[in-house]
Amino acid sequence: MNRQGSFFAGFSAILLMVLVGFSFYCFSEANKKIGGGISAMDNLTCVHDSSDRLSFYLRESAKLSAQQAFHDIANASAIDKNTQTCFTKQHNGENVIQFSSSCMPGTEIIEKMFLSEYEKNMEDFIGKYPEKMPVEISSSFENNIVSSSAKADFVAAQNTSYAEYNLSYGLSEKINVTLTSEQIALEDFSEIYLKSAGAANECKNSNDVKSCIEGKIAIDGWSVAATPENGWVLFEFATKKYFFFEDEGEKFRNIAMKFGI
Amino acid sequence: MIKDKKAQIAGFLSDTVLLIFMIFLLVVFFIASSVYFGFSKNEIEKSALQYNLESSGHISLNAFLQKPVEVEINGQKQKMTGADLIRLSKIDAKYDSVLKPEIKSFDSYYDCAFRTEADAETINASIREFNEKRTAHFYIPSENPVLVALQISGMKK
Repeated sequence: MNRQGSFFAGFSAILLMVLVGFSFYCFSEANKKIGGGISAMDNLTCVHDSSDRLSFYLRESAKLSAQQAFHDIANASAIDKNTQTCFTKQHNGENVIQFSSSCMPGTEIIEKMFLSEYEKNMEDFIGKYPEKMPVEISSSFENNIVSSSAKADFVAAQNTSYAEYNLSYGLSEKINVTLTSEQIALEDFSEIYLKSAGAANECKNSNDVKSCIEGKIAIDGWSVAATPENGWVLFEFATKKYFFFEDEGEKFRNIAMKFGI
Repeated sequence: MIKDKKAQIAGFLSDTVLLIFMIFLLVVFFIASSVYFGFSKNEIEKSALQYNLESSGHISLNAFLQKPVEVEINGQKQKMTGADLIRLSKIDAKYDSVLKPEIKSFDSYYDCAFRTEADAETINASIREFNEKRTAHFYIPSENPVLVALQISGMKK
């Protein structure tokens, strides 16, 4: 019986078990820490994808907001009812604004109306964003370009004993909608009034007022229909290009504008 | 001398047995750890492939939504983007026939599933599902926003 040898063997076995157990524990801890690190990369990708989604949504919203604003202005006969006083005449149960020297589309007023409608539409779209989140937005209008600056913060956090981090990603997006490339021309409204008033005046003694007026008015991107009424002429303009807008439901069609002279 | 030699042989034999036992333990330990911790090369390659598929889905879907398309409406050709076409097919189902071939273009590159969701009530459940499965998705602004998703399960050779 080698008692010393037996003790040594027993001690070695216990030491080996302790070492193996400790190694397992260390590997397990390292594994969880690496997992935590990998989750940070995953979360970073997620945050980046979310910001990409919002950025795309905002750019699309800006385009739609401009189209909607254009529709709203045309629908109001390019007149700001709050600052301009206009007479109306009834046609098929509908009030039609009568243009005159004191009631006509003015480019400056239209640009202000456009920006105000655009901002309102943008806010509406942002409010409908499915991943509800605060977005700061400010817009301006210059040289037929409507610009919006949008800011939003994305945060991802992990707080476990293996991974503790806070990821924050700030989206700062500058969105420009060039109206000419969208075929939106706000100056067309003044031209529509001037050409319509001129044609109505020149054709008032014509035998065929309708054909005379329609033959005299040619505006790029618009089609015109004139209907002589009792003592006035009803003008119905429509864009040749189709736009997306909401008017008792979502539509994709040409934008129409009605007025009388 | 003879006794010492016998003791030497016995010592050598017991050392050898111990060495074999330790090598055996190391091999068992190595196999057990690679199974338990799952750090095999295949696993890493699998997660790298998954990551590539996810980013391919995100980039491809983004590109598709901005891709210019031409649609004939009432005899007139209207220029629009992929996102506009999805919005248009939501307004009028007859444009689904124009949208479907455009979506089919994904099939030439990937084994994938394309989905659109416009119902406000189910959209939140779908967002949760897509976030969990890391499915590429975007939102198209509309009267009710449209959720568009592209789940890629593999690349076509």
